[in-house]
Amino acid sequence: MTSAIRVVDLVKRFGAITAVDGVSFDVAKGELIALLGPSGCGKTTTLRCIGGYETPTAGIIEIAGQVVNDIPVHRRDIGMVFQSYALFPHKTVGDNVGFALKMRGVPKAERRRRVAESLELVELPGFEARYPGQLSGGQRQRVALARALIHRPSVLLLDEPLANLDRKLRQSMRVELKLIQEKVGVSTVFVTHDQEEALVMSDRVAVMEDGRIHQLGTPSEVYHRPATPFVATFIGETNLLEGEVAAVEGGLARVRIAGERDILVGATPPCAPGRRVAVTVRPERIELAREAPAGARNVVIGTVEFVTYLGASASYRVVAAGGQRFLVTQPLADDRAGFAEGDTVALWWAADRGLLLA
Amino acid sequence: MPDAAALARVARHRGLLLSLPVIAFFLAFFLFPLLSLFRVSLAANPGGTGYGEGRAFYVPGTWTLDNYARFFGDPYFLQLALFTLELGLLTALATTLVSYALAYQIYRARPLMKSALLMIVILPKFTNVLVLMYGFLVVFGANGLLNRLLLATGLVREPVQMVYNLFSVILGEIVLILPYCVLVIAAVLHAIDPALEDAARGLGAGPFRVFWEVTLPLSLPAVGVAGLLGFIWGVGAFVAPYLLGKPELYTLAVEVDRQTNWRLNWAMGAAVAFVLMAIIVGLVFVFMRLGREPAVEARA
Repeated sequence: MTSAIRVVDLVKRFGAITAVDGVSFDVAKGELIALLGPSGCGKTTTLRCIGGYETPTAGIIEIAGQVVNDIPVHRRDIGMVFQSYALFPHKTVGDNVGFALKMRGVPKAERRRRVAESLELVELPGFEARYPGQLSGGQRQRVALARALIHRPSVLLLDEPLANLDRKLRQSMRVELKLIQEKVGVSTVFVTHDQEEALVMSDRVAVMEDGRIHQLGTPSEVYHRPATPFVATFIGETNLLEGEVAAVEGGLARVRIAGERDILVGATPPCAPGRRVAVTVRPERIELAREAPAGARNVVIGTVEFVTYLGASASYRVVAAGGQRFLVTQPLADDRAGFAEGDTVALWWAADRGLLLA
Repeated sequence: MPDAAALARVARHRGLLLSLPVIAFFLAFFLFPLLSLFRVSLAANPGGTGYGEGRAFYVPGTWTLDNYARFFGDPYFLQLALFTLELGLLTALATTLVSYALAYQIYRARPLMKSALLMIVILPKFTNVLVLMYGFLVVFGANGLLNRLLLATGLVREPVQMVYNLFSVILGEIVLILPYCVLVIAAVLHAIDPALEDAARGLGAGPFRVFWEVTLPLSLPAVGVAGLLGFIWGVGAFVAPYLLGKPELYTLAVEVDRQTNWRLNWAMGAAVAFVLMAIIVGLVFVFMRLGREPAVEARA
């Protein structure tokens, strides 16, 4: 099966600045891929290259098996939702949604029918006669989505579509957007800087920095098996310990961290002693108690420096004897108090809880 | 102790207090002279013609509508008014078209070119109106640069008459009005969210349809303002008809000058000036009513 979108070695330079530096990925039919990264990482430029709004400096872009590098925006089979929604303020909701059909010469009667259908899809039936200025942010967002989907494009491009909504609405729109995307079955590229949004909505996430993709994988893969320290720190919170491999024995690497005791971690990827590496351990995968049980590995003794109460859980910042700071999250199943600032605690984790980043 | 209620009253009228100097200036230097002029237009005509008769320019203390009656009874004045309106409309149309084209080029230009074009557009305003008009004659006159070039290259045998016609009058007016209209339109074009044009392209609109469906409708308010500016200026045209035209192309504004300074009939001059003003104010009013309705509808 051919991919809906193929991006091969995409490079985009603006003068001396390289915004996209060799990006490649495929989007399967009906798949939703998120391009996730901090601002300036090249995610929006990549999206604009797929849409045809920017001309690639090098590389190939294919849509539905056809190289589209030389095809102008208006002849590409795309639907795009902009961060600002970009609804035409002088046109009614109906004319906004029906715009793509008008451009394609669809007769008025059919246009009206399909506009009604599309507004039904985004749960805004009967909104045809209103103007964008009369809609709430969430409604504008839905209209923008209906407008981008009405001509059944083979590709849907979303540029931070939820960034302008307030937090509550954003969370419910995530699910709704994903449901509509699945219902329509359109292959989608979604640009966001919000890692939570990317994890919730996408089938796969491409984590980007400085114009490159660090890792492309399912939300669970990028969260649990980050490929680089950047991915580990960008997706969720983590403890990143930098050190040097002291020894490799029985599938475990012993990593020497300055000022602390050695840390044991699974030796994948394989690495030789003497190599600089990082070890990442998620805060919720670290155990915390007054004392470590006998036989526990990777034990660190420290002092609770700061407690963040989060309702269902608490997160503790612990300073180890050597000065290294750890973040530990513990569920608060009942109303037991947990730990207080100044408490001396032991934290530990099994070797397979951490991850080696070579 | 200051009275709290009095303070509140002052606070409520603070805007009015702050605008007092402007209001005073406006009253002293605009409204008062205007009313004085209106009074003169209602005075009797002293009669006689020409200079050196030692007579008054109008008969003080008299009240009459004769000057207005003469205006609306005399085909000469009516013809003049009609031509002035015609020139105003033509100027408005021509200026709007030319300024839109220029403003659109500026809007689409790259930054460096944008500054250069803006500079060229504003340049005429750095010089005196008369200098500008005489410059026109230097270039386009019978013995002007362009004609000499045409003669020298043998393209024509006789000098081509390029000035002292309707075309040169309108061209002269365009040069005078253009900078304002271009700036108004360019400002509105630049205020359009670029994502709107991107969105239209993404939905299948080619360059022309993007312009027709998005850019043009969103810049229409500016087109209206530019047209209004062109019309007001064109109806009030004086310099271009006078210097680049001929008597058949004279306007009401030129007539005000002729009555006042040549025939020394201030009363008639004032009356013509007021008719001209009434035409402009009336049309501006109509335009603003027309311009407001759709905007209200779109927002309601």
